Amino acid sequence: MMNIYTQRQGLTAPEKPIISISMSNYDIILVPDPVLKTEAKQVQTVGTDIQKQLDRMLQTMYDAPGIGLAANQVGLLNRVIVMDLADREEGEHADPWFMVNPEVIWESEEMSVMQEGCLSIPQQFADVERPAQVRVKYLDYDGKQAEMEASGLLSHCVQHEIDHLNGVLFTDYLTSLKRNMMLKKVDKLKKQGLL
Amino acid sequence: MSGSGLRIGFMGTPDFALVALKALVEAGENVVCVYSQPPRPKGRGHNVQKSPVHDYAESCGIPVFTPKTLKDPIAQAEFDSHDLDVCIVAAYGLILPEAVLNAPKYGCLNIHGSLLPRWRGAAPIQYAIWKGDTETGVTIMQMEKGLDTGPMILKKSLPITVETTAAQLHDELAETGADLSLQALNLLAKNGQLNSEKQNDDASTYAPMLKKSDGIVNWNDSAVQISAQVRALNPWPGVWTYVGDMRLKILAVRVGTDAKATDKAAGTLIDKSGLVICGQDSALYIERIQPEGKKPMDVAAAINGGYIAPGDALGAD
Repeated sequence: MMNIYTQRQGLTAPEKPIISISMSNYDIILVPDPVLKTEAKQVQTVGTDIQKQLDRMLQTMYDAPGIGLAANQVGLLNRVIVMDLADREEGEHADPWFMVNPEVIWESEEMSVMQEGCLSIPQQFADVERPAQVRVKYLDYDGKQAEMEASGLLSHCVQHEIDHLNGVLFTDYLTSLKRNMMLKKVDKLKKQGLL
Repeated sequence: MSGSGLRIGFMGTPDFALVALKALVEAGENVVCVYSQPPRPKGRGHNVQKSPVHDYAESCGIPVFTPKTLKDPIAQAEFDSHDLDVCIVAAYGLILPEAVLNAPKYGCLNIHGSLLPRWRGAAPIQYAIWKGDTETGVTIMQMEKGLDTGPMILKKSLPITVETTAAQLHDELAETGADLSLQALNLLAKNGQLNSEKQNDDASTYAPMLKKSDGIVNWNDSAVQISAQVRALNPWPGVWTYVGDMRLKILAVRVGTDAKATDKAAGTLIDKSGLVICGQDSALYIERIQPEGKKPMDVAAAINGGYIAPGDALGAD
C-alpha cells in the first residue's frame, strides 16, 4: 500500500492507484443510520478477506479524504479500523495503520481537547475531550498481536475509531442541542445534493 | 542508613503505591526521589489535590517530581540526573519511555496487582474477582516498553473467596506488593542482579480500565457471576439495577443456596428476604442496597420504606 500511495503523491502519478482496477471504494454511510449506532463483532481470524477489507477501507479513507475509518462507516459490522495521519496535501509519506479487534488497555488520567470531525457526519466539527494518551492492543495486517501507544491527534483518532466499533459517535459527547444541530445540517446538505 | 543500600527512585500515585513507598521508607531504604502524577482537581468542589504518594513523600522530605509526561527530553534528563540504581513503579499512571526505563542501573521494577500474564492492564484487582478467579496475587516485574509484558522476578498468590471484595483485596495486595518489592531490593543488593522468567504471552489476559457501564446488572447472569460483579466493582463504578425508572445501587448480595425452581422471570424479587431470581436456575439475596438519592440501607428497610416490593421486576431502565 505504501508504494501505491507514495506514487499517488508524485506529479506523474496516475489519477487512480493501480490497485483500484480490481478494488472499488466502499460507500461511506452517513448519519442517521442504525449501523453507526450498532456494536461491531470481534473478528475471528485475519485472512485474505479481512486484508482485502483493510485495503479497500484504506483507499476509501484516502479518497474521502479522511484520517480514520471504521468498518461501521462502510456498513460492515466487524471490528476493523484503518488510520493514516500523514498530511497528504503536504506530500508527507503515507503511514497507514491497520487494526483488527483494537482495544484500549490503558488510558492516561490527563485529558486532551481537540476538534474532531467524522466522515459519517460531513463538514461538522466540535471539540471533544478524551484521555490524552492511550495504549491499544490489536491484531495487525498479518493477524499478529500488537500494541501501540498514542498521544495527540493519533490518540484522539484511534479512540474515535474504536468508539465507532462500539456504536458511539463523537457527537454523543456533545450536548443534545449541538448534536441535533449537526444532524439537521447534514440533513440539509443531503437535501441540497451536496453530499 | 539500613536497607539494601541502593539509590532508589519511586514512582506511584494512589493508595496502592503509598503502601509500598511507606514500607520502603520505614525499612530505611534510600529513596532519593519520588515521581507522582501532578495534582488534579478531585472530588466535591473539584479542588486541586496532591496524590497520596505526593503528600507522604513531602512529609518525609523526599523531593517530589510531577511531570505531566516523561516523553519530554528535559524531564528525562532530570530523571537521569538522579543517578539511580533502581526505580520502583506502582500504579504511576504515566507511560515510561525507554530512556526512562533504561536510566537506572538495574532498570525499573513494577509492582503489579495480579499473577501475570493474567490481567495485564489498569484494573487487575477488580477483574480477578469479577471473572471468578479463585486466586490472584502480586507480580514484581522488570519493566519493558509494552504494557505489563516484562519478565517476572517475584510472585506471591492470595486466595479469592466468595466473600472477597475489591477493597479488601486491594489492601492485601498492596501489603503483599510492598513486601515483595523489599525482597526484590534485598536480592538485588545481595546478588547484583535479579533472575527473571519471561511471561507466556499466549496466556495473557487484559484488564482494561473499568467503564461506568460495567456496573449494570444483567439478571440473566448466574447468581455467582452477579455476586462477583458486586464484590469487584464496588465502590467504583458501583453496581446497579433499576426498579421502574428508579436507580438502585447494589452494595452487597449473598448467593442463594436454595434456589427453588420457579417460573418467575430473572430479576424478579420473590419475597421479603430479598431473594431475586437470576439466570441459569440460580438466585441470590440482595442484602444491602441504596435507592437513588437515599442512604445505603438493608433490604428489609428498603422494603419497609416502600422502595422495593416483592413481585417487582428488577432490570434495565
